[in-house]
Amino acid sequence: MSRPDRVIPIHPAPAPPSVVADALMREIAAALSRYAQDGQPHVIDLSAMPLSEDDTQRLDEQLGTGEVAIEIRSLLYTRVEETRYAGVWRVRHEDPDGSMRGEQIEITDIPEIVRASAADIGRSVQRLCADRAEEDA
Amino acid sequence: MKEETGDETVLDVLERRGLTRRAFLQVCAAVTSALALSPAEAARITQVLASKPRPTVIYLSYQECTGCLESLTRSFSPGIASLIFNDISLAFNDTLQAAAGEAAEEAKDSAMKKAWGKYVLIVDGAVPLAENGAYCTVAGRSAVSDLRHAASGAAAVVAVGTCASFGGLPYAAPNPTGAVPVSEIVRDRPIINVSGCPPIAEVITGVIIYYTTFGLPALDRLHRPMSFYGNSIHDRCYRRPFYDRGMFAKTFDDEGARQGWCLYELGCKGPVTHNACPTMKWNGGTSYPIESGHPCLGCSEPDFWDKGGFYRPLSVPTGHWSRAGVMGAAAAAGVVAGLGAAVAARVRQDRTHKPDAGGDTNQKTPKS
Ligand code: SF4
Repeated sequence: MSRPDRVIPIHPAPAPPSVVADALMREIAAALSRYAQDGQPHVIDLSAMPLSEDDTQRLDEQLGTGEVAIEIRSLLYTRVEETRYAGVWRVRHEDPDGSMRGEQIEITDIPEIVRASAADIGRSVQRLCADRAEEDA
Repeated sequence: MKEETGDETVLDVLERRGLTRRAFLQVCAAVTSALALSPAEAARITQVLASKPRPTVIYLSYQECTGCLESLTRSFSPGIASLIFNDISLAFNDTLQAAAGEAAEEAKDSAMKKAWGKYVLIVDGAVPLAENGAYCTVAGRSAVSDLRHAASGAAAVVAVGTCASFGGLPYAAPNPTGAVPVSEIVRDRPIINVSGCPPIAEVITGVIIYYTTFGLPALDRLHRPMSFYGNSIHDRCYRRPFYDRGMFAKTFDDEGARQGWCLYELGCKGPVTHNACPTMKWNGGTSYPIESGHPCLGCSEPDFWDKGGFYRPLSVPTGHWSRAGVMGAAAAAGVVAGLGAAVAARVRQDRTHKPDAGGDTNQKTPKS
């Protein structure tokens, strides 16, 4: 969002080595083993975290990419990606103009947003029947 | 603006528009992110937005310049927060609506009646009391009586902008219209002050969405939400390392200014100003005044217009040291340098700006 090219260059004090990425990895590991035992899913919202560039990079490296990537084109554009660890997903939401609107790490078999909801399936049944009736007429 | 239906939830509205539950979950995620919700709140957001009736928002403007509404509606990238605000919640705003005259007054009355006792009232602008309120009237009614009436049907009042929060420019000495902030008129409703001249668009929408999902946010002593006004500009300023080392720009075109040094000596009010500018920034996250090379004017604080000049350094170390606990000797050096610098700069300024000093030193506004 911010545009580093417009910032007047300054020389800030060196930042202390960040520990957020490590703490996150520990939380993910704990949540995954809980999920393996009792099936309780867990969501971590990254937007509320003070992630430095260094943290983000470390997180990307450690989580890696897995076998599944899903695109959701609804009100926003959402990309759901499995990480190298089965059961750990990254979910990123973007505006049509490409700006980031939120990012979560989900610990579950399949993120909630991917599923078709019962209500949506119900409406599809109606629509599909109506379309069929129109065809037949 | 919202369509006329009863107690719909945000989920209902999206469904009525043919969007799926996925869109709803995207909205929830975006709201969580925009408001930087705690994990506990984030876990509840889906349930709240699916079950709580969507908020009705009524927006009234009095003695103001419409800059706040400009900030709100011209926010660079409208985003989900304003979608909820503009498309789903806003029931009345006299500046944005197409209707005028009696039709507009009727729309206002019916919007209020429909949600009487439940709506969120946004007030933009100060309220003049002199001459029986004759300085600001709408449809033959004075702002003060209009506000009293509207507030009596509101669940809460959000004062948007420094005029509504603290009186703003109309309140500046000598205050010819007898302007007062909303809090002087409305005494029996919760008031949330969203100050700033104007406030950051995302802060306005964020506060409203927070209120309508979770209720009253934690407020500071000036009734501003802590989540956006909890830190001073100085606390989060990227030029802070220069302040701490006593490196100050002395004019707008010297080497220090070019190198991006601290703007304290040029009158920066960052140390005594609470707002989210350094983190949320302006114009879709582009920058904020200090990043553009200009000292902070302190526009989200009471009486910022009457503090003796925007380019005059703060005269004393601020006494506001929220990071004091973590700052060591370097910080102490910063305080000393800051104080010395302030004195030096004032001497220099007095020498150069003697003739027009009167413009800067208005008498204090009478306080009630
Ligand atoms: S005085 Fe102003 S420019 Fe200097 S560090 Fe504080 S907020 Fe930033």
